[in-house]
Amino acid sequence: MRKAYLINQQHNFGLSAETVRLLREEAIFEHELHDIAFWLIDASNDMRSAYDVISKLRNQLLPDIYLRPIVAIVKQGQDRLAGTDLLINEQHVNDDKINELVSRYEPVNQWIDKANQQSDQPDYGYVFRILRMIVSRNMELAPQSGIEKSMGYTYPLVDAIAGEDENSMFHALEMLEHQRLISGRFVTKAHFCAHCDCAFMNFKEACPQCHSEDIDSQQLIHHFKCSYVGEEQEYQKDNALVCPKCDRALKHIGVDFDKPSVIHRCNQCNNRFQEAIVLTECFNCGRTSEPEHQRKRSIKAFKSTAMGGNAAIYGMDSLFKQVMEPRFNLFSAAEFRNILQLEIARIARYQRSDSSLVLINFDVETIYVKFGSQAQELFAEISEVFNSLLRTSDVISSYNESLFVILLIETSTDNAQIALERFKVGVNELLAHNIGDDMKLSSAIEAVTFETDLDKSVEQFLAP
Amino acid sequence: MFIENTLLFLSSLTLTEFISYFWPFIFFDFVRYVILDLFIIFFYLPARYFDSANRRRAKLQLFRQRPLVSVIVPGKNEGKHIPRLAVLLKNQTYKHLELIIVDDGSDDDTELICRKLESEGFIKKFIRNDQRGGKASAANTALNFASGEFIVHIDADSYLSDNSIETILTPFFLDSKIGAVGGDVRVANIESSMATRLQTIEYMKSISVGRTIASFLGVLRIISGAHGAFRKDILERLHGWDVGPGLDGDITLKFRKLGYRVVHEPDAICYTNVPLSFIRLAKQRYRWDRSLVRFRLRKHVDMLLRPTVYKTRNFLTLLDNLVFNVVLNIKWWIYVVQLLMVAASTNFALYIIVVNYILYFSINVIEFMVACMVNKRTVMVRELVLIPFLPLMPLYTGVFIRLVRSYAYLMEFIFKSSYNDRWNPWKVSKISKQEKM
Repeated sequence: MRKAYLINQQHNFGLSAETVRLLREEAIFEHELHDIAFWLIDASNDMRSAYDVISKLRNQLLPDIYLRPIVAIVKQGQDRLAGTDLLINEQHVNDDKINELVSRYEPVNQWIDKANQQSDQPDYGYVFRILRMIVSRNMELAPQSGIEKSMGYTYPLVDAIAGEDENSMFHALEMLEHQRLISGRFVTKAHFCAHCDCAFMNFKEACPQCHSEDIDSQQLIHHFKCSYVGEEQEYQKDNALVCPKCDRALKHIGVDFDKPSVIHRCNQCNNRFQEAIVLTECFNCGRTSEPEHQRKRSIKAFKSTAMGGNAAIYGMDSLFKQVMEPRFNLFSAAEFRNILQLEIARIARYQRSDSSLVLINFDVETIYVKFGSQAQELFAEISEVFNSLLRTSDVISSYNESLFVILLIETSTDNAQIALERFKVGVNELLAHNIGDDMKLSSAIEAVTFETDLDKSVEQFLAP
Repeated sequence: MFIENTLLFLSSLTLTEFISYFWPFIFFDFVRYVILDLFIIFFYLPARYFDSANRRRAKLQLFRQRPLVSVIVPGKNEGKHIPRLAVLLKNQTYKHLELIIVDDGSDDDTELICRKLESEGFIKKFIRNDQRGGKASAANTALNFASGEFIVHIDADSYLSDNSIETILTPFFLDSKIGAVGGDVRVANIESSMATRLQTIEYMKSISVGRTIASFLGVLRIISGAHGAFRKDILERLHGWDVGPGLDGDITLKFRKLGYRVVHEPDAICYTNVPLSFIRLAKQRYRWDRSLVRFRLRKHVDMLLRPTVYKTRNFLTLLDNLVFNVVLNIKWWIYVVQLLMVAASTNFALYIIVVNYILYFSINVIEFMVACMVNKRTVMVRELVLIPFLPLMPLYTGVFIRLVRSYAYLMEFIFKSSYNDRWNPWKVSKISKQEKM
């Protein structure tokens, strides 16, 4: 029987030890993690420190910790706390409720067990963790509007999983949708600052000539009798309206005069105009732009797809790999190993040729999260650069999401080094041009000998 | 046989009889047209020729000073014409222009079209009035937003020839007393129908020749809204146009009252589309002719009654206008009655009609020739092919136009029907009627 774990609390809200256990935050890792039904967190007194705990839990890499449901106990009227699965009113906390929740979250916990059977390794990928959160809950991830985040919308359940920056979440979701691992349902549309993606913008009317916001409005008045048309202030004379052309007092609107339109006057450049332009100023970065230059996005609710369900259990194919596949005939890991074995044997037997093993590691996730759905275009360009490195006799395979292994046949390590340098320069140019050089690209070269062991080499390569 | 009889009839007439049968032609039309045509040939054309050096200097002056010119186009549902107009203005030889469009309560996509042109810079200012106020109020709105030294008023559907603006502005630099200049309005859709062909000949006679000579004699009384240039300072002194219909003639007389010269410039050409059918033409003329009564005889009658206050020439302007429209019209009816009486008592009414026809036809031929001389190089084949239609002109001007005009005067004198014209919004007409304007 799974139990609720109440974190960082002295008292247990009068709940029986059968249902709830107390646990200090520091002690989590020492604890047996398999019987956790959900984390119970008291947020009724201090929301901020409660959120800190939630955020710590959600940013763990072990599925047993970050994937578990989180239930927060809150005061009456409190209805938002990022990262939680459920909020319950402090007055409704009792054993029955806890038991009900234990059974409610049983399917989630069973899913976690199933994932653990596949692999009990930590989940390093940010995007992958988000996918697992969505799949394990088996419900729609709905956006919530609010002013806490500069993008104006949050997805409370996954919000506590920290990405590179505030907008990573959107890009990660875009990317998952692009790979058809989740499917989006249109909810609404929103406009964002083109520079910083902030949703909070001040809409201002401005003069089309000088873009000043210092504008006043005036009614035009048409005096029927003499056909004179002028601004209202031209008619103003001692609290009455008098026609400047024929000196008659205006009597009733609609009878002897009317106001056919409104005119704006700019106090800076004296321009008069009817259509003010609209400018938006971003509350975050302070930059001003025209509404048509804003970024327009559909805000969607997301649900996992069958493909996503599969990927969440067995791991995600990287998007980059998908782009590479049709171009380069990527060999599967097993095939690669076989070919490598053959090559090792051949070299050991004849002792007169050099072949090189090249390992290239991309921090692909940075690209995902930075570019969202546009990442694919960049990947396609990078794969072009790969092309310059490879000859038809070379063998390439992807070891995991971001690690590529290449066997350069009949190539000395020196020659491999030259080709690799050329490749690195090409990729770096591309990245500097697109994202300003903060993508990590590491590589290693070794000669293929009878001692070569792929797994060992990879381990060495990835070791910090 | 018939021709012989006609000649016989003519030769049998004594001088008194001849005069008594053909008095309208001898005393009115012959004097008006033939004498004035001779005047053009012997005075105007030589004067214009000798003036050409001055005109060149004036033009130079214009390009040196480069004043801003506001081209204003008030109208309702004219959006479809505006893109073409904007391009025509870009092609003008005089470049320092601003185009101001006032949309007088259009219910089509005029606003959409013009806002786009405004944002693209083809239109300097587009002002949309949601409620229609009539032509005068729309023109006044445009005036309120114009910043040029000169205002050129054109209709949205007219075509300006490339040097039109330059030419219409030149007279202002010839004489500082010139306050307004009228452009030559010609027919664009000549080939469309019989009605447009006859109107073309009529425009050549009445505008190219008629206004040129009136301008030369200093008695020009109208600058057409389709193409006219005004000094803005004077327009502002007048606070713009008054309620129409006939606001063109009205503003021209007001300029004259202020003591400014008003001239016609036959070389500043603007082509306009005229009504296609005789019925539409009749309606248009009905509206125009009523305005004569309303403005000349009601509003500006002081020019006749107090000729010393306003100059003699102004007096003559109005007198000429009245005599040759109202009086000639009355004369025409008297003549018709006379002919009927002749027909009742004798058998030579038909001869009189035939002789009259030949006389008036000859006048038309002479007029057409003079018009071609005034318009010089700008007369093209498309106008010359109209010569076969000249025999129809006596019927067109002598019967059709006369009938419409008589009806218009009658309705306006008795019923003041122009105040009920849908040309102005009802709210404006109501006030005009109350105020007896």
